[in-house]
Amino acid sequence: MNEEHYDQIERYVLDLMPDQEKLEFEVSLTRDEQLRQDMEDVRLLIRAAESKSMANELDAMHEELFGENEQEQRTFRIWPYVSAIAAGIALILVVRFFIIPTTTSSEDLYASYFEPFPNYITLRQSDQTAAWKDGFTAYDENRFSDAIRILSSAEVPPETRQDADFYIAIAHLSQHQSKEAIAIFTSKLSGNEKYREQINWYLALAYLKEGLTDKAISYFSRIAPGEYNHEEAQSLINQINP
Amino acid sequence: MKKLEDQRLLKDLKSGGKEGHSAIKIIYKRNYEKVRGIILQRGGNEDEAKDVFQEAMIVFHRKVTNEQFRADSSIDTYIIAIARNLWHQIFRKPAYNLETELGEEVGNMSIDVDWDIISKEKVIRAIIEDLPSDCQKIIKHFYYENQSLEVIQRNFNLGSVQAAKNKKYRCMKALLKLFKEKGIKPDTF
Repeated sequence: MNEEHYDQIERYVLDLMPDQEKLEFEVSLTRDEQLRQDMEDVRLLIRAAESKSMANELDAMHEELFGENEQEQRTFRIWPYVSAIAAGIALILVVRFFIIPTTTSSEDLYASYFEPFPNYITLRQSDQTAAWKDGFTAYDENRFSDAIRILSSAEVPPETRQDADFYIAIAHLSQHQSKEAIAIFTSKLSGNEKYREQINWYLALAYLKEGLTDKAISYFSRIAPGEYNHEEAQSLINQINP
Repeated sequence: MKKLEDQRLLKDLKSGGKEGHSAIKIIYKRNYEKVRGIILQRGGNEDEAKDVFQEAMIVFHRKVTNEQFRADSSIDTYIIAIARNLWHQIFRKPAYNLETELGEEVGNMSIDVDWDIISKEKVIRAIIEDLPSDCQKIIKHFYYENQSLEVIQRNFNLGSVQAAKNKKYRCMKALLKLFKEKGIKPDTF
C-alpha cells in the first residue's frame, strides 16, 4: 500500500471524502477485493489508534479516582504476609538512609519522562558535510558523546548552527549532563524560535534533574495547550506540586 | 433529573475537549464500582473488572460520538449492559443473568457491537506500544485528538505539512509491518 493509496483510504474511513469521490470509491470497493481488504485493515488500525489513546486516558483517570483506595486495599490484603519481614526491611532502610544518599523524587520524575528528541534533520536541510552526517549518525545510534564531539566541531552554515546546538544539548541530557544542556539552551539557543516549544520542555526537564523545581515548573508552564508535550508538562507540574 | 444530567453528559461527550474529558470522568466515577462488584461476584479479579469496565467505556464513547446511542436507556444501564456482554464475549466467561439484580432493562438489552472487532482492537493496542514514542504521539494527536497536520508539523519540528503527512504515513506503515512480523495482520486474525 503506497502513500497515495493509504491517503485515499484514510480519507474514506475518516469520512473526509466529497460525496462524488465517496460514491466512486464505494463502487471500487465492490469490484476490487484487494482494495476492500486494505480499507478494512486501515479502518481497524485507525479504530485501534483512537481507542488506544482513550485507553491511556482511562488508565490515568482510574489512577486518579481509585489509585489510593486500591493501594490501601492491596496493602491491607498483603499485610499478614509482609508484617513478618517488615522489621527487617525497616532496619535495612534505616541503615541505607545513613550510608547511601537517596535518589531525589525530581530525578525519578526526570528519568521517567526524558526521551531524546528524534532526529528529524534530513540531508536536504543540511549542507551535507561529512562531519554533519557523521554527527547525526552518531546521534541516531545513541553514541551521544561522539555526536557532541563531532557536531560541536562541524563547520556548518549559520542557519543550520541552531539545529546542531539543539541536538548537542539533547545529547548532553541523554548523558545526564544537565548543566551542560542548560548552558546551551540558555545561551546559544536563547530566544530561538524554531525549537522554542521543545526547548521549554527539555530545559524544564534539565532543571528538574538539577532539583531546581521552581525553574522547572516555570518552563513547564510556558508550554501552552496544543504545544509540544503540553499534557506531559501539566502532569509533571501536578506531580511536582501535589 | 437523571435524564437531564444524562443529556448534558452526552452533549459534553460529543463536543470532546475538556468538557468531554470531564463527562468521561463523571461517568467513570459513577459506574466503576457497580461493574467491579458484578465482575468480582462472578469470579473475576480486580484487573479483569478494570479491563472490562474500561473496554465498556470505550465502546460507549464510540457509540455516542458516532451518534449510535439513542438514549433509550440511561447511560448507566447501557454501560452495565455493554460490560455484561464484554464479560461474556471477549473474556469468554459464562453469561450471567442480570434481570434479578438490575431489572429486565439490562437483562434484555441487546447491544449492537462487533465483538470480534473489539477483540482485534485490544490486540492492536498492545502492539502500538512497540512503535517509537514519536510515532505513538503522532498517531494519538492526529487520530484521537484530531490535531491538524499543521499543528503536528509545528510540534514535531517537521520541515513542512507534507513532511508531517509523510511521517504519519510511515508510522501507520510501521504499525502494519509490526502486525505482519507478529503474524497477526488484521485480515488474518
